[in-house]
Amino acid sequence: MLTNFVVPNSYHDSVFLMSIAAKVKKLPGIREVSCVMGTEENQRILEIAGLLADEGRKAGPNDLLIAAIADSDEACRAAVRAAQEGLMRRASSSAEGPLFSRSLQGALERQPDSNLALISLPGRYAREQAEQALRRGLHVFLFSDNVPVADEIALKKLGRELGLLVMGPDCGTALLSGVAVGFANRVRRGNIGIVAAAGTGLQEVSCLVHNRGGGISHAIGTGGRDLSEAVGGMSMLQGMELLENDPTTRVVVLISKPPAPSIAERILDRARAGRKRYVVGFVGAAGAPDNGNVTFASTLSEAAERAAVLSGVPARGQAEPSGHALPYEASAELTPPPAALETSGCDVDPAVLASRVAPGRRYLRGLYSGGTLCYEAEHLLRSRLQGVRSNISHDPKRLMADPRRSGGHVVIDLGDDEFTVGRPHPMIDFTLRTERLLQESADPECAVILLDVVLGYGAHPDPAGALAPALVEARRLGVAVVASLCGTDLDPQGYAAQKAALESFGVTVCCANADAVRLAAGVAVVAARG
Amino acid sequence: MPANVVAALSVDPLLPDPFDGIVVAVGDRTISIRTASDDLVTLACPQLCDGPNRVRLDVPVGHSLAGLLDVACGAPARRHGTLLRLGHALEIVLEGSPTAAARSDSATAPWNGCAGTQALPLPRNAGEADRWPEARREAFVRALSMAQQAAAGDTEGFLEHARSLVGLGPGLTPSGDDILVGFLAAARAAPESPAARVGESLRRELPCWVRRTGFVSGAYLRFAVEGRFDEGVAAASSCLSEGFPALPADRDSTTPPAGRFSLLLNYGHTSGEDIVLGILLGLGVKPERMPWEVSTC
Repeated sequence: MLTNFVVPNSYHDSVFLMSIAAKVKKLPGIREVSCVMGTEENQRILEIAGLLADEGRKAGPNDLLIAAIADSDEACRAAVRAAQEGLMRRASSSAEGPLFSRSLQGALERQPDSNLALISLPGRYAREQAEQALRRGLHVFLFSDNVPVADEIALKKLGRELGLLVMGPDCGTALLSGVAVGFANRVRRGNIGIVAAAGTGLQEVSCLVHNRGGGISHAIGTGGRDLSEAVGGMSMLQGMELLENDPTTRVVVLISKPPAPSIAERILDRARAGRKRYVVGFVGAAGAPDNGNVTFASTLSEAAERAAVLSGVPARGQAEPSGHALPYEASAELTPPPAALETSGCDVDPAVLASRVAPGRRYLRGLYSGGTLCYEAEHLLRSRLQGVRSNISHDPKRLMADPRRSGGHVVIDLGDDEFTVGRPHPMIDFTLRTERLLQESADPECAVILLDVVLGYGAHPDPAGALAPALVEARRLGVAVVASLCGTDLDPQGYAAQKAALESFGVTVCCANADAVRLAAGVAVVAARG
Repeated sequence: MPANVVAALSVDPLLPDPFDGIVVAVGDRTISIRTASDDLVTLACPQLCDGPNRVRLDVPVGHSLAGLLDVACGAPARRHGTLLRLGHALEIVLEGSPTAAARSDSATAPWNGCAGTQALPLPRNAGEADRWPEARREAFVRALSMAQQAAAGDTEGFLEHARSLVGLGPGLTPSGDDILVGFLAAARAAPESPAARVGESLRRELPCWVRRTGFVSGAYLRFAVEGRFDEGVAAASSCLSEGFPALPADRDSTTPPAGRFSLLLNYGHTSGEDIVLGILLGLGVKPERMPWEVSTC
């Protein structure tokens, strides 16, 4: 049997074409194979060799012509298939996996049922690709930062017109139908939806919900600027709409740093008009009394707790849930949350920890990798310690003069741009944080170091191991270390293993950031009293 | 997130400016762009030498361009002044940076090294070419006939064979085309050679035939007609033609032809060898007298 297959406008060097021909020739039932450009002279040679069929005669000089003689039709088809696969592998020569493509169009040709595009291009190029994705009917997860706000507005308007969601720019995390996108934790599926303009806030709440026995239906990131006056909360409003119409979702958690007041009002109006129960966790915003179906939380852990209880998880101290629905999908993974997750570290007496601090040390130093967690820490510490400063404070009077040098009580977001230019994010690479931990430990005024340790997909495979040398040094110098561990028992790093490792290096581990902040603040207060 | 910006190590001064085009081939060592005016622009890895409409990129040596640069076939390309933009995320700065200049002169450029001698695995007769794939063997046979016609001064017969070589053979630049490029290089390097005697006719006719081959290879034929050769081709033809009409070297010589051959012989799978074959035939060297090896110093 003879078969010819033509690939239009396909240019390949002879080494590559010969390697394809050699591989195809090894297939069972293949007698002869040729891969050449379809020039007139090459066709003449193929004709003489009995390798040219009608299909091949249509090839032009810029087309690749694959010809094979085989024992059967099936072998012919196998030959063409193998040659096509070889050509496709060339297109993805630098990448792993069979689904790598170099363009959106190529990716869609190979996986036409896709409904989401993850875009991680330099900011100035992101808009064009995001627009293309939207116009092809794809929701967009826009990881890129440095996207101009005008581009963000234009993209979100287009998405809204097309009924498609634009998550981002600068969106680092999402959980969509149980699929983790970007930095995300592996959590049980359930009936709690999240819309967050705060990446680690989303991670913290989803982990705490999981650890309390609840589950997440979908968690949608919006990008940190979404609730600004300019952007107008377009993605959060769209996300709320999607969760309102999602039959799985029973409770919706909204998370953000303080939004623009007019936008906050618009978001709350939509929540009040909704059919679902809402928990609003605008970290650092003034609290408000519960109002109909809307409940307010002052911290991320409080938001998670309230959502869990509303979703059907028994309240603390109670055996039965307040509702009837299961807080998780009955078919989902149902690893029972270890009891240690609920109380770990939180019940430690600050005075006991402070007693291990070397004399003369009195200040708290927070070294964060998660921006939202850092912001929550700064907000909580304001009412507990005098003169707390941060590199990401919204209050200019509380901004650090030089984020690279600490003085007094400080909480630092090491994931902020000033620390990450030209180097990986501290959630991935612990070099910067280890160096800073040693720097703070060596400061004779540092009493307690506060850390966040974030697990999950995309995060460092062994955070405790990476921090170990600096933690040992901190203990040797008489510095207390308190860490919040954001993760679940399902995360690839293993919550229990990381917790045990951190504790073995003298770290007091809390399961929630707010608890860790309160404990560390207590240590600093007691240590300052001497 | 930094933009993907790559500096150029070297840029052909005749590179069109401005131009719009699309990427038509992405390989390990080159990226080919077809401009709106049907010109070929080549982006090359540092290991390749300078050539017509070629930009050598300041990227790590030894890596595949296809792997290093996120560029796909069909991506738009636009040059304006010193900036060449490919697709949506790659910019090439077409002016020498201190880094690029330093790297250009560094030992990473393969033609700066001396590797001794290298075998020249050309057949000495049609029978020896039987080990080659059919199309390449046929190109060799036709090239021998073409050279005979050139040596005999039979322009008509020569042109007939030359035409039959266009587009004959495997790969991005078929063997027949590579032989013709070598032949034209010989014509230019040695004005008294057989190739030079028929060169004018070939230069006149060849532009009419380039549509018989692929776009990339056709572009190299057009460049050769214009006298624009890859630096490796120019160096090899210059070396081989030194002292012409005395033969530069032959199989009985104890001293192999010296020249910067290693780069040329490593072009593609067979292109380098086929170009050298074209040069030698253009100089009138008979197959049985062709050198077994060449010096690569």
